Amino acid sequence: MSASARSGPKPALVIGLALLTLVAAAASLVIGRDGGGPTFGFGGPALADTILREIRLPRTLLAVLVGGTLGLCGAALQGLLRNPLAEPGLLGASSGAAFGAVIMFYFGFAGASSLLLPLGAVGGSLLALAALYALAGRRGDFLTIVLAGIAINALAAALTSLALNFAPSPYAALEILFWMLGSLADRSLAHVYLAVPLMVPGWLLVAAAARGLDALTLGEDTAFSLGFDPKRTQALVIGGTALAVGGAVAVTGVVGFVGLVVPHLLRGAVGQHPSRLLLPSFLGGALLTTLADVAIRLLPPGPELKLGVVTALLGAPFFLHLVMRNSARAT
Amino acid sequence: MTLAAVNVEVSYDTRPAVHATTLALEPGQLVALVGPNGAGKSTLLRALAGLVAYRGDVTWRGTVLTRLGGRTRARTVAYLPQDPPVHWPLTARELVALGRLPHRAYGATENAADAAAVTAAMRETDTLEFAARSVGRLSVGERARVLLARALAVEAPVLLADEPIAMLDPYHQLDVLGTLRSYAAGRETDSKRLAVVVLHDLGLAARFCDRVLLMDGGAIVGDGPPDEALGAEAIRAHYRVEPFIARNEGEPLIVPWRSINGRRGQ
Repeated sequence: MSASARSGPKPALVIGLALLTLVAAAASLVIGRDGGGPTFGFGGPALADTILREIRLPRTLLAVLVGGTLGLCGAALQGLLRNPLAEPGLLGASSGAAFGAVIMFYFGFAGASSLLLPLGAVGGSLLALAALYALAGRRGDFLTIVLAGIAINALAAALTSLALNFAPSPYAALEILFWMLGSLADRSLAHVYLAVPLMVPGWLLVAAAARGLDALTLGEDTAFSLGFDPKRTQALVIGGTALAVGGAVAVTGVVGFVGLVVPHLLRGAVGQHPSRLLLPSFLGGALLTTLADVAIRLLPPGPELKLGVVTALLGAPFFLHLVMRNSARAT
Repeated sequence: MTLAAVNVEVSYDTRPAVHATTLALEPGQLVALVGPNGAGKSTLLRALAGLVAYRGDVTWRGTVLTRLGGRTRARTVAYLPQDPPVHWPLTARELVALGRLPHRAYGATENAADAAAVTAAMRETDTLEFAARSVGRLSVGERARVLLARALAVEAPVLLADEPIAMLDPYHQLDVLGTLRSYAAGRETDSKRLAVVVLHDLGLAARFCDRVLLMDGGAIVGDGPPDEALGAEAIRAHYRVEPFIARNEGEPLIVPWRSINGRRGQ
């Protein structure tokens, strides 16, 4: 057996993903888009500073932060629920966060104080995940979790529609709708400052659960007997995910499937180990999201595709493929 | 140096599963926990491991176990559930290495002591040959031995194992019980340990264990050396079978021969 299979994290994988993320981020800083299609560079030197600082830097930072959050939280939720189909979006964390944020929009709180929007998102996300775990978390069986996720997503969507239905003006409804599609365009550093104080503690909570996730590989009883109370692991992962995903959704809307696809692609490379999947999934999520956001800018002219739409278009068939393979294995 | 249970009592909802039980278990012994289905063996084991809520106290060297921190408790009492799930197809070696989690600081990689414990546990359970194989590709019996190796790798002074040999072939049943006996006797290391094992094979329990706890209806109804606790009368009364008892090469041989019709207690 190889030494690397034995000795924890895989440095080559982590370093490789980090370098690729840096390259993608650099590309994101130099590739732009105007009405006529993709542009490279910054236009004139006088504009360069403004474009870089006001437009592309926030967009790039958010792609890395949000993508990383989704990858990390996807990996952690999969470890907690011991199910490769778990994902912040599918489990209702994202739609719960969206609903929480919409409520803030709806009651006009978002304008009064910009902090209330992310707080609403965190609250919604926390509620959704707590409900999911209460409904389906203990046994970790695939069907119950997916069904519970569907129910929570449906409820959050219905409540969001209700809020839209009673939106004070069509313009407000449209604003909410576009925000919900999930996008990194037209964000400023203020959005970064808003999200980071939620994301970083969220990441730390999730990271603190790493060994508990490993212990859960052998079920809750063994995890407890190894000194890692499953209730504590659960609280860390759900609390951390709610904070980080809530922060992400608050500034970008719902970007789905990153948290599903990334851990799944990387799991084999880390020998299935739940804790070793966390850091690579963070980097992989950052990389994938940055690349997707760059790809959007390279498309021909026309209205810009929303990032959430792109990830859903690519992610949903991937999810379908996983479900079919899973059910084929079960029979 | 004793694992002691004082008036330990477990109820599921309102139904009592284990009646007030007081026990003192000494290191250096392999203790068999036997009894018919539903006697409360697993529940008592789980109470000793702190996995079910109970009234009374479980102490190790005079310290109440529930007052120990999670990792200290985990290093003191290793627990092997009956047929635990394996949710991710790790390699056999990595699965065994999970037993070292209570010894490892956050983010620390495997050190020499960890590697030695893992290798020793795998050698003792005859699982080294598939160390690099995915657990998903092992047979049920092979997997059961890997899971036992995981529990041995904790190197805890107390090992509680729920039916560790139920899935094993005869060779490995004998082999694993021999391993558990030397684990308890401390032949491999200097310190003596305590191993409490739920068993259904009375003959093997009588041959390999130093002490037998016979449970029925949630209470310990027999306790002592195998010859005392597993007499024909006790087996008839609590298992409702007529045993065939003999000796071979000086060791006891117990075979359940015929079921006795009639309700328990008649």
